[in-house]
Amino acid sequence: MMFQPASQPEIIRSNQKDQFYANFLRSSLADICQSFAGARVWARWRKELDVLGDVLYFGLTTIAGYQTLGEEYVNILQVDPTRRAVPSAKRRLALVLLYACSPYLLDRLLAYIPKLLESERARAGLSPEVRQRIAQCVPILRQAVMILQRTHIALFYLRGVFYHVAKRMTGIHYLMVRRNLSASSMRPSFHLLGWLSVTQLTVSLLYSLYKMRRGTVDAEESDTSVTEDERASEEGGIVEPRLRCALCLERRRNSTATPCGHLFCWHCITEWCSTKAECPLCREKFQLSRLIYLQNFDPR
Amino acid sequence: MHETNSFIGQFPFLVKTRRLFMIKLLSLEGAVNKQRSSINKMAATKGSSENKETGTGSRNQVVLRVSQLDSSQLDSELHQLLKSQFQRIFQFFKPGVLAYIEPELNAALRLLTWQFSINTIGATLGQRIMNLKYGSEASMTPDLGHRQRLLYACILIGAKWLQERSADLSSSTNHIEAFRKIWKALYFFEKLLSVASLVNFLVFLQDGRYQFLHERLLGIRAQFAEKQSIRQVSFEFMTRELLWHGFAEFLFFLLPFVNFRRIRNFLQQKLFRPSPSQRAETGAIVKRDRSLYKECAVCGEWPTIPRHIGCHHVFCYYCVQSNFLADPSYTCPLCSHPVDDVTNIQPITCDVG
Repeated sequence: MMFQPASQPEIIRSNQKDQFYANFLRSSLADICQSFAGARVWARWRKELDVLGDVLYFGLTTIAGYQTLGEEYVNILQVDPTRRAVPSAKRRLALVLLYACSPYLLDRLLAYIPKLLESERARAGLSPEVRQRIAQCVPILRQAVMILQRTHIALFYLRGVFYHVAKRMTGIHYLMVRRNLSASSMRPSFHLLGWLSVTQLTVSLLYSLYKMRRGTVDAEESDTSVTEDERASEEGGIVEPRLRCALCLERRRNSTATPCGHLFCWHCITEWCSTKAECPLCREKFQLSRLIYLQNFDPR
Repeated sequence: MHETNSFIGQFPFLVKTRRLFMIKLLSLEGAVNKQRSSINKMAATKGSSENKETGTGSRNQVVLRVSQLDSSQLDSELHQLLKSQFQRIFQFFKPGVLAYIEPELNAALRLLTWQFSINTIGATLGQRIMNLKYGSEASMTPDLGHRQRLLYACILIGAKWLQERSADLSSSTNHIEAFRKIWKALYFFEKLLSVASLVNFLVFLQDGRYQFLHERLLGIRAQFAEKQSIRQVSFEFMTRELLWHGFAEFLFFLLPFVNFRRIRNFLQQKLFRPSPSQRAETGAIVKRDRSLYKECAVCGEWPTIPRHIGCHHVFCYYCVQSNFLADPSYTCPLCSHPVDDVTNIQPITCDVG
């Protein structure tokens, strides 16, 4: 047979290349918008502009019936599920719309749900428990979308047909126009990559389930720490330099001395030293155990 | 044979829109497999009809869009390379000594590059690498005319210099009314230019002829310098990078789950197990030896905020507490006395005298 299905390296490479040029288009659109309408307008319509950039790029290539730049680079060709013909115009249109617009629309939808729940109509129609239940579902949905995408990528590494969910939904395959000699030998490494991501996904899923079970305890713990932080910032005002922690720039709490004699909050300095065990002011090196918590020191 | 022909027929849009692409495809296939001579013939007939349209044979084959884009990217990379090499000469001078003349420096470097690329061989350095060269559209000659070369230099060097210098020049001449108007007009022109170049890029995406606005203005176009050879894309680096990224991500994900302290303590217990005689010491503590007060059992230094866990040994507060938090089955590294509970970590009290 003359044409073979494209394998993972080609598809990924073409995708990278497309991403690069779509980003170029996005950034030049952003530049133009900034110079004509100002940065404020740009910040308001940033996401919409990005979608526009993608639609322009794929509209002028895929929908118009040309190869994209990435596909041209690695010599692959879109075909429909029969693998005997180029995808129809409708199919291509659906692909581009799904690819460019669906992440944006999903994002907007998920951001809109909490607002909707707060509105008058929802308050009147739904009981508080139901509304709370729905509000809890939103972050879970977000997580689910992310996990779905990662599973899809893992599946792509293993099976190697559809890199994007949009391609799977529209059933657009890739054929290699010219055989690449090096590509077929790469297959084992992609299998390895696929299994790696599969294990990672399952472990993280199990872990998050485990955390959800003990979730109530954790939530309570984090609540107390937040209120403590808030209290600290509320105290606010201008703190005398003598009483200030050089790391958080607030009133020092639980003063702790380094061996070189500098004072910090206990939390600040232990966090600092867990990445780099030296004094942030004079860079003297010491071990974490050398920190001295000054008891009965902080003025009340 | 028949099968392949019918297969190609299944790509109506290909035949219509990217006929040249098909020719290339077919000729490549022909090179791979000489038995498909009839396809070659077909390619040849199509190719010749194409040649009639454009003029001079294989030279005027439409160059792939990606090759043109790659060549321009190579150009800017080369410019950066040259510039950084040049700046390294001045690295021991006062910092910022080149900042005053940076636009002029850029212009000079561009002029040099132009002299040794466009002016002599009729191709930019990036194009040279991609086996391309500029040809003019109107005159049907394969090479650039003298005027086109000069105009190219003016646009690429002069305009870029003006763009980089305009901020300084406009601020220094801002008090003169006429100049202010000129700068305003220029600024507006620059904005328009950015729109025009975006539109140009969009058009380029479709027809693949003029990548930049100046190419369209001058009517010059990238062509193959020699007959195009088979382009091979190497995937090795990309695959290796992907694989290593995958590994790194996996490790970063996995490492926080590993309790290193616990493993270390476990190994320490197994390898340097204290002798029974030492362990026998763990009884009721009546009085510690003086030397024990001076040394933390974990870090071996003078104990900071000294604590004990029920055996003879003395610890820094941090050393014992952090170990116990990470590993609830923590035992004294010297005598294997277990901590068991947080409340067992007690401050040291001793009698004076």
